[in-house]
Amino acid sequence: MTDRPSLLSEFTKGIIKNNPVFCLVLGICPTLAVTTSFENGLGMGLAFTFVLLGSNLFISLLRNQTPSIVRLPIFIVIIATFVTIIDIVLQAYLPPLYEALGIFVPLIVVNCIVIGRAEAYASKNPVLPSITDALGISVGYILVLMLIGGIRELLGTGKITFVMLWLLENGQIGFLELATLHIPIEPATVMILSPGAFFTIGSLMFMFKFMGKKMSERRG
Amino acid sequence: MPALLPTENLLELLIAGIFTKNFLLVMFLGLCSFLGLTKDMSSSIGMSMAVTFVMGMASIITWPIFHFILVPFGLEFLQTICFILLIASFVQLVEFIIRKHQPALYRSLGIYLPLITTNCAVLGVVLLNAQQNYSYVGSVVYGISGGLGFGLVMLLASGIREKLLQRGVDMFGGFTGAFLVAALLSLIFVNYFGVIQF
Amino acid sequence: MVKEELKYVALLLGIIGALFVLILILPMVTVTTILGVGLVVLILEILPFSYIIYKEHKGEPLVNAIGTVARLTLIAMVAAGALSTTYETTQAYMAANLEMVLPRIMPDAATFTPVGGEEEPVYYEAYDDAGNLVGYVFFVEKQGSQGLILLAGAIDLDYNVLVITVVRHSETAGLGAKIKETAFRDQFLGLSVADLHLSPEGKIDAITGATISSQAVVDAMRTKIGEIQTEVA
Repeated sequence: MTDRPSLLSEFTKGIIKNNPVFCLVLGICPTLAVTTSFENGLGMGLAFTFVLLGSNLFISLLRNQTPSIVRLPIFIVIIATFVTIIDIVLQAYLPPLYEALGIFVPLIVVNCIVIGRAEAYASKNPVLPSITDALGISVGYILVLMLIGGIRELLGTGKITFVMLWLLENGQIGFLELATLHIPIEPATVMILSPGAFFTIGSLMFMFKFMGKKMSERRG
Repeated sequence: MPALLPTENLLELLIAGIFTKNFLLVMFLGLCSFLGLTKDMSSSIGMSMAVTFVMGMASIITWPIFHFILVPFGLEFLQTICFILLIASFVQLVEFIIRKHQPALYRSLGIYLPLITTNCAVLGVVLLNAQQNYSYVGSVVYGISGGLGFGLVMLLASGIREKLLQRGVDMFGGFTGAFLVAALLSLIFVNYFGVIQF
Repeated sequence: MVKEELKYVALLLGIIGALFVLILILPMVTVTTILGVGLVVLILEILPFSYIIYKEHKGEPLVNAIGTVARLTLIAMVAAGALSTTYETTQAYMAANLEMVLPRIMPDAATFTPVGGEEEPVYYEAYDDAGNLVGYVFFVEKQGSQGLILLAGAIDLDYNVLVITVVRHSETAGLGAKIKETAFRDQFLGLSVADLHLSPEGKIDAITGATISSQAVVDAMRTKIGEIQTEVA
């Protein structure tokens, strides 16, 4: 249980080796739909993290009480519960983000990453590794969402605003603007629209695969 | 009494579902099946038919539950969990029935059914129906047209990818190629069909 | 074969019933929680109905099936209970922070300034991105047939209704609760104070069987808009 190196490797494998988007090619729909800006990408990633952590924790806790024939309905109920919780919490505390993400928050319930981790990992492993696995995968997912959101915002509007989730001065939780970066190019609106999303992820995936190939060639 | 008969323009819903708000290319719903199953024509046809059927049926099933149970009792917050459970149980039931009674149909369509529970296009269409407050007929029309739009793009993309692979353009066998095909097709859908206005 | 299934169904209903009695006698349980829990349990049970009966537990001792169903039911109850609790907590928070709702009532406006009133502002002035006054947004509460109805609305500079939404209410489901539906609310759009009466004097058709609720909404809107007119003047 307290095997540190293995926990660390559980965590890091989700970021590069098992990156949910570029390597497992799962959870593509929200990756493209909500990444019109850095802020939305970060928000979606955090909502996703909450759901994956909660569902991995509970599925792992209940793994000996889950009859295998009704495994899927139980997974669905647990995941849907966390999805609904984050949905109503966002509606109350972060209405602008709730409006921006729209139906893609409830749609986390059919995100193949969540159900995939439940089936492949959390239902077979103890609590601590399951949570570590969830954290690693989530960090990998947030990084991809922020990357795609950042690229599309930068090329589509000519500027990018870095934000983080923080306690604002008015006592409410919200996005705190850290810095805004302008680039001197003509913004290409198509990057905000759907073709831009497909172009961005296609090119990124090509680079990711290409670099992976180069690295394994060098090593081997 | 929620409206059973259409209060919205059905043609508009049909065009929106197939072209202007295409589920795959404009709304980004159901991309997992798009990436996985557009390598060859036959599996994309099978998947599209199964998706269209389930999207239509899901709209038929969830509308009464939403408007006669969830809304009157103020339980709208339970919509996600109820809809996904209804879809999952429906898909399970259909799979069971056609495996038992229609073995031929099962071999061509049934294998795609388990994939559909986690297809976001199906849950997406019922959530949109509820959000937009469509009438009963409107919901069903929107569900079916969404499925048709999904099928259209699946066919276009699998045709393109199949031809390119036959010509030896290996790149289009992978996910990168699928995304590039999607990007080009979505340019058409966004810019060309985007001019359709009601 | 059929007898076996019937026995199963009876036991299933027994388990659900017993658990229901259990939550009914717990204190602090609201109607929403009970309804929500019941609904999720019932829908979830459809899955094992189609799956377990016919496939997995055929020919096995009944106790195995009972264990499975009991676990499913328990998980569904806990899930729905947790959701209802979260929902009610956030609803209370949202009610306490009405101002956060303002941008959703009038999405075109960028900033809102409270005007008048000692504890609560009478209305909010809505300004667009360029800083022009584009309308007034307000909340108004009125006794309906079952409890207080809280409405939110927006009017333009000529005091015609732009938006009307029901923030919360406790009217009867299927009757007074129809004040939430667009069919009723859309009647208000574009009307001025003079028209805000139930027909035949005004232009609003009351909901059949829910005259008190309809009257409350119309009166609340008319009074409030009148109040804003005097306040602005």
